[in-house]
Amino acid sequence: MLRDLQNYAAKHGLAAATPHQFANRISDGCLLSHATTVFRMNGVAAARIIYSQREFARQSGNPPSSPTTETRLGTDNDVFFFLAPFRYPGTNCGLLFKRSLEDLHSEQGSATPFDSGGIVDSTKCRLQDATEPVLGFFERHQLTVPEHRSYLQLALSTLFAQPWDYIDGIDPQMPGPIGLTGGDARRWTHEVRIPVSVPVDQRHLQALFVPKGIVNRDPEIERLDEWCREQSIDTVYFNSPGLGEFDAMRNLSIEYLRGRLQ
Amino acid sequence: MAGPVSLSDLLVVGYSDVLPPSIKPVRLPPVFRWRDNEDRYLLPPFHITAGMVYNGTEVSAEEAMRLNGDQITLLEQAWLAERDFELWMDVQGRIEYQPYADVQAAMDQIHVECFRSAQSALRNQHLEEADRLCGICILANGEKLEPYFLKAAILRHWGRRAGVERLREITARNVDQQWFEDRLTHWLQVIQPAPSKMRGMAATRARSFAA
Repeated sequence: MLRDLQNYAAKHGLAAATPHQFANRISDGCLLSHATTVFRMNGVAAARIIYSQREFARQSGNPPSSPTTETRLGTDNDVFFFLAPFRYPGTNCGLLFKRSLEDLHSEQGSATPFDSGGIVDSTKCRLQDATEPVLGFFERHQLTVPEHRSYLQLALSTLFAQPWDYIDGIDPQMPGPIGLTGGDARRWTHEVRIPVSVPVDQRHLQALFVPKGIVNRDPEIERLDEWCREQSIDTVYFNSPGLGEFDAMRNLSIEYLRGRLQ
Repeated sequence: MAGPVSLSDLLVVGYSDVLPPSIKPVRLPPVFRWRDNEDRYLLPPFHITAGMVYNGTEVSAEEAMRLNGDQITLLEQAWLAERDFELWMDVQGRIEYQPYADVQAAMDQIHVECFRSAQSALRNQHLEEADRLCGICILANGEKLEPYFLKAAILRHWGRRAGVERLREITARNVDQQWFEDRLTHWLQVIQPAPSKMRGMAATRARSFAA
């Protein structure tokens, strides 16, 4: 896949003479984001573990009654992250993890240079070759972790007007060789998957994002927040509640990532 | 992403998120369904301006049912979507769809009543109840600061320094450190009354803040 991108860049005269310094910095140091709902965060805070969809269902004794996006792709036993600010709409709590989480799972983890869920639902992303089976497309674009960061580094240097656009959620100037159209920034945001479960511990957790009203009301999330503070893990609060929660969380995570990466 | 959709074409049929029972009162991001098409749902995040919904995510009924109970909550009741209306859940868990101004007034009223109850609970040394009520106050109106100070006093009494620091950080945009400490000390004196000689002074100070 990296060669495909190199060829694409060469063909379109995009090859950067030298990689942009921020392309290196972003691809190397970008944090992994996991966004979720208050309900799910309550469970994560209580267990201090993020479970995959399958494991969550197994533990709660409530398996999905119909196929899900994840079961269709065979990713239902993975925990999902974006190598980016929070990008999953409809969420209002979030965790940012350090790159060390990926390094630890270099044998078992996997990545794609897009949100895999988006390709299952044609209202989100469309394959340019509509005849290609979605599962085949997905498998063809698997990358190992943390090597997918090399792909990101080249994409930031060649496809984007400037590397920060990736963090800010601004579309690349060139679509690249993958062949996806439609959807939003998740079409080109790197997704990282780690099997079964991810502990929320001080080795890998970098920051907790939670609405002010929730952290002062939900006992489990409140205890997680206090534990984070005791472990010198960053905590970021934003106004709640209502329609603007996701936007507030996303914008603060952009600001946070920019602050760390610049 | 769906193009602009007029509220007059939509029903409110649920809300985004699934909330633990403790989270109320709360404003709820609505989930819409087209009035004339039961298979089309519109999910947040979106922006509503001048009676139009922008940048929502359209999903099918099948997808909405799949998300129900996980990422969204679909309700038995539906309302005609209206301009300047808001979906919210009251302290008893009742869900209403009302004008913004009415929701704000109801939230303010909940804040006032719960803060009064929190003070009463504090005076009776029911600290867990006072803490719970402060959390409700903050959910109802996060801009009013006194519940943060009262809660901070309880957390300090319990030895939860990290929680006190959280509240100090949250209120730091509005009050300086000294003010925070003064208010915390005031509420702490309600939990741990000062020796009798000092009581008169503490009471005088409390009255001056109330004024």
